[in-house]
Amino acid sequence: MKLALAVSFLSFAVSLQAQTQFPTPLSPRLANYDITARLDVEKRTIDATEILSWKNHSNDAIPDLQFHLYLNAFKNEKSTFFKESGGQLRGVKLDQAEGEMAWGSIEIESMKLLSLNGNETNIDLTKQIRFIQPDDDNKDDQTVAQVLLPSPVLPKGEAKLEIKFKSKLPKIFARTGYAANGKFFLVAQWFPKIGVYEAPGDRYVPLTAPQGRWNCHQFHGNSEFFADFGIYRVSITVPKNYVVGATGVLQSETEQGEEKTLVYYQEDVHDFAWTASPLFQVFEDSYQSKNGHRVKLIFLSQPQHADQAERHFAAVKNALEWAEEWLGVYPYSTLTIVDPCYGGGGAGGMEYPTFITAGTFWKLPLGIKTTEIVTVHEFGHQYFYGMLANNEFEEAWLDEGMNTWLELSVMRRYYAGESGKKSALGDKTSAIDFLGIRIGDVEQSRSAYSSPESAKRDTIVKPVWTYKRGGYGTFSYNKPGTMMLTLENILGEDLMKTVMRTYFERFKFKHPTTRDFIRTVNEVTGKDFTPFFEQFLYSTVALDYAVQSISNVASDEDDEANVASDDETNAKGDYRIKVVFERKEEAIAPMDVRVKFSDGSEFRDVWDGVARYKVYEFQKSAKAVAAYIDSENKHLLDVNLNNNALTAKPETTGFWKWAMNIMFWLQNLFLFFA
Amino acid sequence: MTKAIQRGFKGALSVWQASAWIYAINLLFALGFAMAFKNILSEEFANRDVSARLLEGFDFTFLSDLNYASLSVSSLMAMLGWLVVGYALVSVFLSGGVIATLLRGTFSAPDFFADSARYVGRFLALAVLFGLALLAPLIAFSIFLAIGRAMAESATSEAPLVIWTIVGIAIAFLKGAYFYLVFEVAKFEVVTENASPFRAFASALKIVTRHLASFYGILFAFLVIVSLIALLLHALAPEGKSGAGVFALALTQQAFVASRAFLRVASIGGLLWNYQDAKPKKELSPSGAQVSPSLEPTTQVAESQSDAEIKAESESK
Repeated sequence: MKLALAVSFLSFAVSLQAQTQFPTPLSPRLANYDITARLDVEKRTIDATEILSWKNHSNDAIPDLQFHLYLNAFKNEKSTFFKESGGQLRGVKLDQAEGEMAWGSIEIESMKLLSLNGNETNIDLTKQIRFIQPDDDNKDDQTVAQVLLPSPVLPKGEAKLEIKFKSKLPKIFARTGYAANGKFFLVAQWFPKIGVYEAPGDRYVPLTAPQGRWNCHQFHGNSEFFADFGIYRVSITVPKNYVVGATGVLQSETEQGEEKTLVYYQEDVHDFAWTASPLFQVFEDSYQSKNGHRVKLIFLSQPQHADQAERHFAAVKNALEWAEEWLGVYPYSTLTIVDPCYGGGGAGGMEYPTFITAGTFWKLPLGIKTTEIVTVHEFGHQYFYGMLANNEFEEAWLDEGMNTWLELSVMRRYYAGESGKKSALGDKTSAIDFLGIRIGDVEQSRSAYSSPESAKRDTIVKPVWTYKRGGYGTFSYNKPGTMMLTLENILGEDLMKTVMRTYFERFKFKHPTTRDFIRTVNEVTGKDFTPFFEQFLYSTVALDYAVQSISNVASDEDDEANVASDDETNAKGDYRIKVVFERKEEAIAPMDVRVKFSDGSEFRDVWDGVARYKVYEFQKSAKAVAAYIDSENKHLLDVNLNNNALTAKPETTGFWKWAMNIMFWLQNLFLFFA
Repeated sequence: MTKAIQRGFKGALSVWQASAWIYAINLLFALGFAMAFKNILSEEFANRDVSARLLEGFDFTFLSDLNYASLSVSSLMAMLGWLVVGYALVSVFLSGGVIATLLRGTFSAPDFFADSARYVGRFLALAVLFGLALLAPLIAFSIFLAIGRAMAESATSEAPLVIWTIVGIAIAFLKGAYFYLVFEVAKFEVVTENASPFRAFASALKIVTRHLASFYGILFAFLVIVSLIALLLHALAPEGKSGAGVFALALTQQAFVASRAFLRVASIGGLLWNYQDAKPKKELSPSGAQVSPSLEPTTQVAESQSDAEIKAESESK
């Protein structure tokens, strides 16, 4: 075994030298993994050996190491994940009817310290492993392990460990496991993964703190992940007839009897996931960026979805083009898109570095664009999560919310026609355009946030496991996505682009925080947007501005003219006009206001929006015929856009149309009876 | 079958007033709801500049932000529920008049409503039996679907389950159509034989089963005709993006509804003549009711009899 290890080390070193992908490292490369894994498709288990080289980037002497053991979330009903989620994620339940095979776990069989601070050692740490629960008092949760070292990892020192482990995969649940009786595997969160040590000055650890700390949260019902960048070399052995896809670039493929071994390699990523299935049909395409960088696109399709390969490739290419323009170039050379099998839907819609899972349906009509939405969204995570590697446990909006903005922007630009390019709400087709039902992606995303029940329910920035039940989607995806669109509308396209490109350039391959983003916005725009973010990220206030009233009082009359009066002029040709705008909720934002008069003239102003009411009075020969607040719908965060306009004359033609439509449907329903 | 369809059309034409009544009552019910809907929107939004958005078509943002309007969608939904139940009862009521009028061959409003009233009790009982009978295809469909799901446990594609489900729906639809035909024929039995609901339903089961092809044929022929008219009018319908456009759209819609009301009467006529052809002649018992010579009916309508009289007569037999 020692010989095997030595060979493994040697080959790793050789491959690193021979196959360097990025001559200048893109990231600090603190956590580097060399994993040799074998999949047992019958037992649904993985036997593996992991060589972990971990660098202490801090000035602290660190006495212990902490590891995520995510699969233990599915070990039993006592895990924190299970208790919080009730055994379901996004409507997919852990199939307990499968008995023991439904559950998943990870067991560290042995852990050896191979070297410490440059000195070779051979110390067995297995007995030093203990489970800890940094987030709650659930002693039954085994998703985080702590290992005490015989001596600390010195500042800038390095620890190298050999970890033998066995992962038992659950029946597809929470993005990982097996389906189709072992004909489909999505292997994610599957290996002991070291936490992130945060030194003073990192993220929210004060620079003045005497010591840094491990950031290694338990696996929670809604939480995703947080890890340091590094180099991954993973050797995967599977039955010969299984098609494999994985993070990174395939380096080699060799067959031994009924099995084959594939070696994948990727620099500057912070996770590794893979899939294996004999069902996949493989499609390949490529994308060339404007600077000439080529990305190989691989789509692992279910046979019944083979006719949708082009839909997936088009979605990714559109997203690549958009991201290149708004953020920066995708630096990796591959992207693998996995189409989970029937029954494996729990593995769909997930992101890993250079590897995403999508999800579609047999003969899905082109007008139902869920396939494009999920593909674009998961690709977007290559930026928001992949390269901008925020802490998903603590600030999920930075990946999910910003990525929702990316998704909405891409869908608007490429799937909504010309109307979508003009305004966010002009897009009426980018989510659904089928059988007369037309819904834009922005509209459907915004609606999740704009209902009275959800608008003020929670704040955006908080640990994800502390969201009120059902709040994760709204407050880490929909509301922040809408907030980002609002910010874009306020700043304008060019400035927003500069903000986002600066943010990406400055924080790629790092762990950005909300604070970093706000600082970037303020710096690039030269304005203080802190109050904007304070309201929408850190408080529960809602935004709703309305036009409250219009009154036209003829100067020669005592009585106020009715707002619906048809009388356009008066004898003396003079009106006292009063238009009242109202702030109906607590959030404050400057608002464009506009008043239209019967002679065609217009009054425009920007109201600071601070007071509850803003009254505009005019003395004119023409009556006010309409008033608008935020008429361009810049503030998509406004929870009620229906009250943003008021007209002097009623207009009901559209209501007649829908009344006639409803009557027609009802009549036809009645005629089924007689 | 073709002859029965032709006679159905002829019959419906000769008593076109029956179709007109069905259409008018249908319109009255639906218009009540439509006006309530329109008035609620107008009260809340007439001055909110949203009418133009709705003219463009379905507007999801308008709908999602309705949450904040003071209008009560739930009260509208409750109204809708009551309207559907009310109309279902009215439709049961009217069917007696339609059948008797078709048999008579001439339309008279007093007779139409008198006949409607005469049979309504037994037709309601038949409707309950029909509702119970529909449970059979529904339960069968549930079992069929459960079997499909169990088989799909080991499947690697959703396609077989989708096809299985579509087949299940088609079978359930065919079974539902079968019981619908039984329901219709049972009504004919009540009108022509003064049969009690149970006896009529049992007899109708036999008749429809024996002559399944022709009954199904008539039903589906009318479905095809309705579908063709729908396609034609859909192609002709304006988008309705102005006042005149909305008016034209409403006219097109009402043309379709009126044609459906007419086809409904024609389809009852077609089924009725098919029933007469299918029913063994010895079972028919003419008893002096006035009928149109042109339709050559072999059954008569019991006129001016109360339900109690009919029941007594039926029992004495």
